[in-house]
Amino acid sequence: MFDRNKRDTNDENGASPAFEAREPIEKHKPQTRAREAAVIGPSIQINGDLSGEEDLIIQGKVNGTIQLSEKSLTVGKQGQVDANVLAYSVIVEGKVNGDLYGSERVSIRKTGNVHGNIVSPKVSLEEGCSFKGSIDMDQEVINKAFGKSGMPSSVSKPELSTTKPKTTEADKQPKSEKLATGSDAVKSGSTG
Amino acid sequence: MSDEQRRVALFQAQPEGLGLFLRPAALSFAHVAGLHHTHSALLGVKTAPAGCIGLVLAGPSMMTLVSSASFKQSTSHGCDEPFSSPLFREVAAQFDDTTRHVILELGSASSGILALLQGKRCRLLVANAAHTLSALNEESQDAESLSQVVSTLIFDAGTEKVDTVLCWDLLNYLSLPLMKIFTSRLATIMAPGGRVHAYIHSADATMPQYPQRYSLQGDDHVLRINRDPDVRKTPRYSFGDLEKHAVGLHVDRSMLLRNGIQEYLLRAKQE
Repeated sequence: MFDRNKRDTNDENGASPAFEAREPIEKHKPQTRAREAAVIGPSIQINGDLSGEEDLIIQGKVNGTIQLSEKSLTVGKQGQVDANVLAYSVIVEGKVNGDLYGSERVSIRKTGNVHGNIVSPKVSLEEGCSFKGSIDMDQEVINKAFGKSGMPSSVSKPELSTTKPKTTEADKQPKSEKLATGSDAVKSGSTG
Repeated sequence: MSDEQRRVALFQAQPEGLGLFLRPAALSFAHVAGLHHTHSALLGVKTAPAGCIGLVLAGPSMMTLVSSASFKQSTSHGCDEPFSSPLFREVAAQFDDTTRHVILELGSASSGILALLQGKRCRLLVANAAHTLSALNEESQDAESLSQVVSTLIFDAGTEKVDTVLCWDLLNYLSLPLMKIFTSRLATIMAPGGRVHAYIHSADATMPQYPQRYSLQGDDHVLRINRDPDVRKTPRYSFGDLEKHAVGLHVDRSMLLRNGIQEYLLRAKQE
């Protein structure tokens, strides 16, 4: 997601020679140009379940669940997420209290603070980040969580009950039950 | 004997329990140097500088003194010289893509560990509790409340059992009573026969004030990231101390590394 935003920015500024050659093509095919990611600003707070088909950047607060099966989620430096997250890739620069399922990758940047469990084939933790929880890179567990094919397109619901470790009282989060037990379609969130 | 073996001073407990086990604290580098001089005189070979000497004990009947010009003492502060850690390497060799393995990291996870586990059937529990555990004091709290705190800090693996615990140098920072509480907690969450890897400072009189971060460099070297300018006295726990106070565990193997760290592999007792 960041890459895509960066690409757009670079195209506009002409700062990146690597993308200069693509600019004319993209001008003639505006319909194929990637959309910029949706942003939840710092003053926004969402309580509820959130799903979508586009990349998302969270700089505000979200409590509930987040499902972007084929898209990327970035929790910005100001973002505070108290939710289980399912996305193609997850980048954390802010605070997350919940489980992260990344069908492609989960990255916690140096400013990131995560308390929860990660299930993803690729996980990276930058020096200086804070993480407490478990990291599962076992392909069998990943396949189970994302569907047997392991492809993001087949992701329906992560089987959190089979992968979520038993946590201490202090670690227990009520929102984890929402995603684990809720079989209904994920509803859009409401601002609060 | 390979170069790798020559780079470490090895104290090998006999698997059958019948052999000699040397307490690491009983042998200072001065002792090693003295033995080396004796050995050199007997064999009529030139004596190497004392700082480049290692002692290899691979059993009660085998004692070999070796020297290594490439050996470098670790620096007191900053990033230390990467060192070979044979027992850690042995532990890491168990992680593969066929058998599910649950690993508990008591400190914070490093990118080196993640790289090691990439593509393997592993689950890494990151307790990130080394600093907090090292600050606990049995004098200010009773054993029961300490036990509760330790249980909260060291969470279990749910329906699974922990196969390997990475303690790094944490044990040096726990008092012996606290070590009992700590290890008994580990024993409850570990699979029978599960392993605990730990480093004990045995050569230096002082150690960093707080538990240090350890990462991996390359395939078989461990890097201590020492950013702590303050030091404290090293308790220099011995084999006997661990055997007596590590509840639910027993010392499986131990090696003295060239940087003065005693590397231990403990096992959870079978139920």
